[in-house]
Amino acid sequence: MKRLAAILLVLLLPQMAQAQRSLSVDMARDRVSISSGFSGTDLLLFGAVDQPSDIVVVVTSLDTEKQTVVRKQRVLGIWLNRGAAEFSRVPPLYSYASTRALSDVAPRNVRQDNRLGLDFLDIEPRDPAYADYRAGLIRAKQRIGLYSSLPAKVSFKDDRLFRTSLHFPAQLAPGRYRVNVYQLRGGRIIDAAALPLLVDKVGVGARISYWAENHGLLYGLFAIAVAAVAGLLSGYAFRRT
Amino acid sequence: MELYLPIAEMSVNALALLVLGLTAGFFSGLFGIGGGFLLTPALIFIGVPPAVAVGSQAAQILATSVSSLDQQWRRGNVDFRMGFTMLAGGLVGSALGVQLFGYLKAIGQIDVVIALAFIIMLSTMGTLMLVESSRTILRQKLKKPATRRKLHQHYWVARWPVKVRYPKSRLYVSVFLPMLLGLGGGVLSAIMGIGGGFLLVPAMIYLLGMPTLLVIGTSALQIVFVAANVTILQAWQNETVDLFLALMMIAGGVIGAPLGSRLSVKLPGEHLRGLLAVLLVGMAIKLLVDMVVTPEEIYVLSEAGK
Repeated sequence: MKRLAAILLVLLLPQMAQAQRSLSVDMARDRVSISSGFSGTDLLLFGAVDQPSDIVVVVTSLDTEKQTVVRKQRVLGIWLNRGAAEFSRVPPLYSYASTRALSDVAPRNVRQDNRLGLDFLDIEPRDPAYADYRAGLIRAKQRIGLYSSLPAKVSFKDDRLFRTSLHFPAQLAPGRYRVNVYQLRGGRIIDAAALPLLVDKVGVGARISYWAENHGLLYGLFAIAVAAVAGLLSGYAFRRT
Repeated sequence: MELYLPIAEMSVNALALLVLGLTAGFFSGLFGIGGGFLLTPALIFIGVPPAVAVGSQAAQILATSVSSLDQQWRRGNVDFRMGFTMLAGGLVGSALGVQLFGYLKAIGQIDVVIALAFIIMLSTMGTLMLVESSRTILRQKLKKPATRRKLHQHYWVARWPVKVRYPKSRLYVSVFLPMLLGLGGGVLSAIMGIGGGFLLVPAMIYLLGMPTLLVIGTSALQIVFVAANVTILQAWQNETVDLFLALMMIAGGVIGAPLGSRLSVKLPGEHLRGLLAVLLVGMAIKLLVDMVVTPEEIYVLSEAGK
């Protein structure tokens, strides 16, 4: 009998571990389509937890980019670009939502280890000599709306159900993104989930950028054909009036 | 209504863009110019990356100049020999210009160079035209006869080697002079997103000494091919031609230009030139103020490395 109980326990353990998962989340859509009328979009994320917790949602990109930041300096009365710094591993987007201010949700080391908040982005170089440029880069991204200036609000209903609305600006770049959701309690992450998010261009715009990026020469030839025909037609229309 | 520009990767107000195209088209009809020098800075003002503004403008200039060439050709106002000589320089110049553009973009200075080039060009042209047109207006008021100008003056360029006959323009000049003009026009086209007509036209009249009647058509011939070259190269090497943007500008021009040219018939030439001069100087001042006033943010993202 004891043996049977032991076998049952071994068999059930994985299930029990599974059952300990306390966070479940989903989004209204897992794809954002950039069509010709795209001017930014909001995405509803919702989920449930088994006990009162803090929730932090971070949307970031799987692909990183290089970004040069220039520093303007006055030369003979005119503001010119003088200094420059190139950063790599720059996420095109970093937006986040939280139940409370991040510093109240988790201590510094937890935020640092999980890259919660703009202070802990994995942007190279980390050399303090570039700190001003780095801060300038983050401010510039915030002005465009690609990095959050303030976290979006995650709101709870009955301590169990939560929801938040994630905003994506018009300047959103196509690519693969990931939405990380963290459940925290007492400053510790007790569960986490990740949802993929695909951003792609659709329609005529998608075709234009595909040809522009992959067949630049043909695209250029097409552009001059379109422009020349439009010019000739406008000439005829003009003469008739 | 918002329109997403696929190459600029930004969304703009379609109505604002159309109004912009219409206004530039109206002015180009009113003054008989291409309008690129109005559109490129205006696109930059509304937030289009300078590189994309210049690249897409090349396609718009092509459309405008094809239409102009078509009309002038029918009237027999094109000196093909002269046009193709200039074009030899123009193709080299525009290819060099696109390379220079790519280099400036890579080192993060393209926006500054574009702005400075526009300030210098707009203020110089504007001041010259303002002086010239106010003189004409004053002279008419005082009823003084206009001093007659020579058909063309013989500068030091007359001594340049490899002289060629251009029967249609009744000229015998060094082949290098029109080539050099074309070269300069080509470089400006590639860097500033303008046709360069309103620099070429006075240069062809005063420096080359071409008959005024042939100048518009002949410069249009040069601009058509240079703009086509710039469009292909910008699309191919710098990926900066946004077809949506170009089409909106072309559409604005098609509607706006006839309105402008209808009004131009009713206004005397020197008043038109005075008006254009004020417009040019005004834009130069606006660009200069933007460069002189302390910016809100001294760290900015660069197009480089994208």
